[in-house]
Amino acid sequence: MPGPTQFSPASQAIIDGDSQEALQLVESALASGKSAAAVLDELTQGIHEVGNRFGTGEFFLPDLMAGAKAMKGAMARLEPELAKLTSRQSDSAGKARILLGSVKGDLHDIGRSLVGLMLEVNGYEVHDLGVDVPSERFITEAQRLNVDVIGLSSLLTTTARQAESLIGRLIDAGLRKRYLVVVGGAATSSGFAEEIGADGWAENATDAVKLVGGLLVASRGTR
Amino acid sequence: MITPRLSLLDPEDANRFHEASLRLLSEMGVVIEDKTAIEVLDAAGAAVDLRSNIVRIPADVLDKLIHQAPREFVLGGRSGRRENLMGGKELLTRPVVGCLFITDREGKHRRARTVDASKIARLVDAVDEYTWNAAAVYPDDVESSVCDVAYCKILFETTTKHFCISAYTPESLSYMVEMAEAVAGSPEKLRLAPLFNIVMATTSPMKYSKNQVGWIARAGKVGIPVGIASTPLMGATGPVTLAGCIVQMNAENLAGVALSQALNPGAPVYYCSRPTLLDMRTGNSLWGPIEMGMIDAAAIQVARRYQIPSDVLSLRTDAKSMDEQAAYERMSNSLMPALAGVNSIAGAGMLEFVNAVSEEQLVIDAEILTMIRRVVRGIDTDEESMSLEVIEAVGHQGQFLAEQHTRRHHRSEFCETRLADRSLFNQWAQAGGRDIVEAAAERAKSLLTRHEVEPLDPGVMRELESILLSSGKNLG
Repeated sequence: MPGPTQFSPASQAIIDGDSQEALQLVESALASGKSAAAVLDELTQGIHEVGNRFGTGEFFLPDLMAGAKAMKGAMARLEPELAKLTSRQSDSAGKARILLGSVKGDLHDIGRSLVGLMLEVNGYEVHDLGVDVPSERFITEAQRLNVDVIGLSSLLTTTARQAESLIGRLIDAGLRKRYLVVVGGAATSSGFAEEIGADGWAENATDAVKLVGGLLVASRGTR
Repeated sequence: MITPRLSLLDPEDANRFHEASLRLLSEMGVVIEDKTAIEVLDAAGAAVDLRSNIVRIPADVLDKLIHQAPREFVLGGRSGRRENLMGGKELLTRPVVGCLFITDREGKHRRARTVDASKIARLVDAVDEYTWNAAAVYPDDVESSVCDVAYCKILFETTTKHFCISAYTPESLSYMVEMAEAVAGSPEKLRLAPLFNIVMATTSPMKYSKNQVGWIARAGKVGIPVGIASTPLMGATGPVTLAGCIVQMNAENLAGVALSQALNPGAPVYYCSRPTLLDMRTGNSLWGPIEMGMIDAAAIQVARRYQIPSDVLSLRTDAKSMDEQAAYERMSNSLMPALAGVNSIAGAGMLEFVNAVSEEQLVIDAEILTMIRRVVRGIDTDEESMSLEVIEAVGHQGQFLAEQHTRRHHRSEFCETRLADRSLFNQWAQAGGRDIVEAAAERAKSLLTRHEVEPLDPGVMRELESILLSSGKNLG
């Protein structure tokens, strides 16, 4: 085991999942003239450590949630400052965007939220449309937000076919190649994903991160 | 009612859970997404807020409504099958409802097909230890919008036992009722001895959707019993503490019972304890942890005061195959609520959370239930059982094997098991050295070969076919 890494107070606040502390540290750092980019580095270091600790089993989901919440709060304060830095703007635009939602008729919320959280922690920009999302809404939001990936969740055998209808609509609209479409949830499987022409399937949130990462690398330059 | 053998909670604590649930219902309230139901509860004395759909039920109103629910009710079976009393002295048992996969002996799973659903239903029909049948595993080769109605038809064809099923929508429930009326002969006969019941999960936390109200309303109207099953996922849709889960589950179940009684006074309902736990490492919904049995036992203890029949889905495991984990999780989790006096145990055959069903597991569970029924029967303490006379007669030198007392009682004191291996090593090895899963497979095979289910009347068969067809036109 390597010795304990020393984290900056801002990183530590994210690791501790202390939203108030994280926000205060961002405020005081900015007030003292520290660059927004340097603050972002510290926050990112913190959230990466949260991900690491979750990976090794030291952290549980509630710890991950708390870390992500602290990160989100701190970032909301930092974003306007970052926007002033042109270099950061281009960096943030380079982040892959992911649209998530539970398909129409499906009210299950938790699994999909976890997938969103894990993706966020891993540096993706996630837009979660929530539950009972009609196909048309997925498409209009995907276009509006200019996303790279559409992630569909279905836990009911009765609603799983909604994923197929969405893909059909994308094809009809000539947009199928524009987005990677992935599916997940108890009513889906790799066979189902293949059958409906989705780009991939993951069984759980950790696998979803691997799936999306792999698909984005593989599709780089092809879309 | 079944006599509870053990209590996990002190009586004062059981009362505190009741009081806590009352506070949630009267102060926080429950969201009910149905205007008619809100009006009916308003008329019954609840405080309703039409903008937020929040219904607050004061203790006295709740008490009055809950006492309208029957303490016991009949579960009928077709073709003159023996009726069972839910809430009576006997512990009722049934398989799981709503799995999707079939697990084989090697622990591999595949999506179920119609033949599997029929075979499982026929096997449950053959196994005496099961009082009811159930829509255990929904098939993949049926149009999904009518899969539930089609399953109802499969069950009428393959079992004469009463069965439990879940309907996808209130509309599909109406088609099931139509089928049941055709099988029973008339709506009146169906009401007297309902041929099926539905189990319905509520939306935690503290909410009843339009569909949930629809199921309760339609079933209650025709006398189909409803299992009100609050299913909090601890740490996600319910509190993470055992006590908090019981409080919320009890409140949600009571709201459902009150709702059913406000809509249809006297409608048969039963109280289902269905806790699950969000795995804080993976986010999976767990069914097997030992704490689930503790919650079931405590919830059943709390629920006894309401005098409504109760049910647990306690033959539960997170194991993927029929291994030691599957065995210890389902036995220990079932034994606790059984000792608390639950009226019905469900979940037979299920593996891998609530995803898969196995023939062999169904046969093994019959054995587990035999043992559980033995425990529930308790220890006889009459004079003859206390055995003073025979102990004195045998004295200090003799033995008991030759005593009539031994002969009289050994059969009833001990339950006979069908699968447990009780031979010595060499006997076992010479007989093939098989494990319990192999023994179960053999028994399932022999039951399925021998068992015949009385067929439905051809006229009724045609009626069911036409009901399924019209459901396909309207539900598709």
